[in-house]
Amino acid sequence: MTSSRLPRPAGSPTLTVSVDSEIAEAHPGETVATVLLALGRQTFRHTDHLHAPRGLFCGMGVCFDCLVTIDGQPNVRACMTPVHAGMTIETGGPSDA
Amino acid sequence: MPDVIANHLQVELAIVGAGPAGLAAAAEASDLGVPVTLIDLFPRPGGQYFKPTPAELDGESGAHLSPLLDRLSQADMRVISDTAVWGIFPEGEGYLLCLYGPVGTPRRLLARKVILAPGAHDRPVPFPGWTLPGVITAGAALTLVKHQRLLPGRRFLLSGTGPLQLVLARHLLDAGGEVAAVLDANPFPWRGWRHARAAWGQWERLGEGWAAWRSLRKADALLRWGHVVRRAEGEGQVEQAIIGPVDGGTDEAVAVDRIAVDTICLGHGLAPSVQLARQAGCEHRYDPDQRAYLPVRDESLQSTLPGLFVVGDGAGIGGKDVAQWEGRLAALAAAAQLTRSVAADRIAAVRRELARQRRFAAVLIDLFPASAHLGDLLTDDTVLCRCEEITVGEIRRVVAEGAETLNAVRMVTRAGMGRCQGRMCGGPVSELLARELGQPVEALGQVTPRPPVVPVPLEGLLEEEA
Amino acid sequence: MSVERSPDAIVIGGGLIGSSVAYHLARAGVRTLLIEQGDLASGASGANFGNVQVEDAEFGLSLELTLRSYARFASLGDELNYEVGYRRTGNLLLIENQQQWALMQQRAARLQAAGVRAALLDRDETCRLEPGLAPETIIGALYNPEEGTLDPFKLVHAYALRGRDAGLELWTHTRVTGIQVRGGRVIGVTTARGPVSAQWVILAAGAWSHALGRTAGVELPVEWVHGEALITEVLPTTARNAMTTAAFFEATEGAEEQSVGFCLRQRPRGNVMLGEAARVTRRLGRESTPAALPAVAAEARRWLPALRRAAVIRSWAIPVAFVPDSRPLLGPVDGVAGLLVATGLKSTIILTPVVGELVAGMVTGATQDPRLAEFSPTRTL
Repeated sequence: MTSSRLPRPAGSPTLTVSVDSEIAEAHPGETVATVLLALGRQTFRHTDHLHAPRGLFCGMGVCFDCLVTIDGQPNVRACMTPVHAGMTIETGGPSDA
Repeated sequence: MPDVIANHLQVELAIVGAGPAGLAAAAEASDLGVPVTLIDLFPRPGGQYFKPTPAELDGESGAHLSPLLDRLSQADMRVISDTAVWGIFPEGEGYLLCLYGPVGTPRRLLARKVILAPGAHDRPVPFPGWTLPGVITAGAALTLVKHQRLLPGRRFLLSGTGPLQLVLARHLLDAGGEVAAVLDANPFPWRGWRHARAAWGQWERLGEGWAAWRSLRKADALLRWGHVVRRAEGEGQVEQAIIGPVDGGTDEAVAVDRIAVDTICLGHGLAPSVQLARQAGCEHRYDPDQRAYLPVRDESLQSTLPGLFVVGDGAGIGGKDVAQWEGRLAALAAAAQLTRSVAADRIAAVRRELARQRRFAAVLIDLFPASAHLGDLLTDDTVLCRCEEITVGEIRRVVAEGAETLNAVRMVTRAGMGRCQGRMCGGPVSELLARELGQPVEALGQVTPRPPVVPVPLEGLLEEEA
Repeated sequence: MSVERSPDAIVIGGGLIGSSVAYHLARAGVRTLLIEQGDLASGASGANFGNVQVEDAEFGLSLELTLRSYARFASLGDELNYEVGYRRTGNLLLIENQQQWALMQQRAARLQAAGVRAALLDRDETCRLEPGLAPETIIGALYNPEEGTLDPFKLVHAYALRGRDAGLELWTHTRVTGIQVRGGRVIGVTTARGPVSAQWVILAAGAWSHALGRTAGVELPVEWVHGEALITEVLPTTARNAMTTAAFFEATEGAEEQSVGFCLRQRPRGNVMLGEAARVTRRLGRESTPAALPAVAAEARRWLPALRRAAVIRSWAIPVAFVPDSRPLLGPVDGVAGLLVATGLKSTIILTPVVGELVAGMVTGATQDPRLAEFSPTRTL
């Protein structure tokens, strides 16, 4: 897809995270949402009832649409979570209630 | 309730929210010798208006966003970040605040005086297809491009109202994005000339707007007044937008355009975050100009609860300068209640400046009101409650079956009962109900937010950490 | 409602009982006005977990009526032509200690004798049924796989809707300020909208029935607790059965302090309801308290530790009526002809069909069971 990082400062550090079991590069200070969008991933999950795709909407933690599983913890807001080295991020899937 | 208050942190003044209003209140209180405890939801203070860009993404040593941020390192300031206030309860002559934050954060706080500065969020305005990935708020777009240094798409449509759209458009263009169109739901602000007096002195703002408009003309962006996005379409994400006049009928009846875009930014203004003040028990009244319930305040910005003040966008949208001066005024009043000596001419000076800033803010509300006509766009299959996936059609059905208030609709359909706790759908459901029942929004009743006013993990409700 | 023709019957209270009574009256051809002070189901009915429970019925006439009422549930959705979310999910009364075990043993025997599929399970069997339960909290459970759950808001909405189809008039957001009595008979009510005359007044107002009873010169033995509960975000399947602690059956002192009687139900959507903090009080309030929320949270975490990180998204608090002898107030008020009371039920939802039927029958004359005197609202406790 279409999101793209703007140039980072020269020599700025990177870290690696895993997104759906694939290694991805990120920068400290970025949120999980930023990393996903930069990877071209706009859909973060599907809803329980209508299985509709959802991704980022409000970007400030009030809408609870951008939910992903982080380090095994489900339903975490991607836009409010800064990445750390070694973070596992999993997208997709409704809860199975 | 002795068990509740034993061993709790006790403070004279608690300020909730570290945006411009909260920061200014903190500075003013501190100037008067009142120690301040400032509690903020985000990892770093600044709120939305003074949001810091992470240094690793910026290359600068931390842009100087506001001198108010520097005050926070003073000895009499305690800043509790990354922490939610999920409930406020009257306790004796003050208030018990229930907090949830990272390990080591106090869970309870007793404050003699409280200043709430919770800010606002983008006003959600539903339309068919608004839940598709690729539809984001203008606030989200601005946060991504400015603070995450990410261009959140390639080809953008901006739909909403007001000069902030131009600011966003400028940022997107500067970042290398393509802005296909900027639509303002309101007519061209011909009436602007009447506000020349209020606008006098606001050169920087006017200059920004002008520069943004010129960039857009240069970039061949479509600029339309009285227009909105009517529908977003695409396979699993935004691929195109149908745009047209605001108060139009069907696509066939009015002239619509179909434009290919991958990102739609909705900028229909802001909605005050009133949940905490309402849960605490402050009386609110519907403001038809802002199309929102706002706290009832006296001239010192005290709510209907004694010793509890509400300031900034959380009390009514006014922007960052109104927010700061409100913060200062409330701090002066709180300090006086705490029997600090407050100079009358300082109060007068703050009131004067606040009035001046309010005059300009009022101009924007007058010229760019939240549009009343967007309900025309809703189809029965438009999802209104995003969390619970309740459609316009389901709400209409329940209304036809007898539900007559916002609360009744919520209880039967579950609209507003999801994680966002009604923040996204509360306004749209009220407006839909108002149209269906032919009644003003204020006749439909309020829904009182219950604690916790933000989602809190079960064990986070406990008074002690495990 | 036109002022010229008064209703025959006024039902005060638009909750589970009131809406069912009004529906049954309207269907029986009685001109009925239902008056509710807030929205329908905005009292204790809105705090109801939605359990359609047989296991906790009082024995004797209560159980007989419960079973009779329960039989209507299989077809209630069809009868009301409305999806009320009725599902057979099963119910567990969780047993923590030997005293509770003995009580549940007796209960199991009597329920089985009445044809109810109630079985005592040991700890292992209970934990196999509900793997989320912390084994150290229980020694077993009383289990009925056939008990059900539904959405109480939809049930009330459906009763009201079908009542209206049959001619029921509804006034919501209208306070009844008094029940008018003259010469030993009820003549109507006074409301915020003015007086309304009627020959029959049915008081189904939960905790608010006490004050209203007084306006008619009656001291009803209805008391209430300030009950508080929580609900979580949508979660994956956490508990298939509804659960309640058997401690509810132990004799209690009725103290003023906060106590928590654990109960849980996961809604079909996935949200888990957790309760119940209760405090006996004479105040009628709807505020959540800072002491009750952590108390419920701590209890829930003790029983189902996996819930510790589940996000709580809402709480509620409401007066929940009860009668100290665990039997409802159901029937005519001695000395005030035309005044009927229907409140203080221990397990409300399951009894709505039969209570609606019986009370409508008291108005039409169809109800003639002398055993109902056991539930007289003016009995001595």
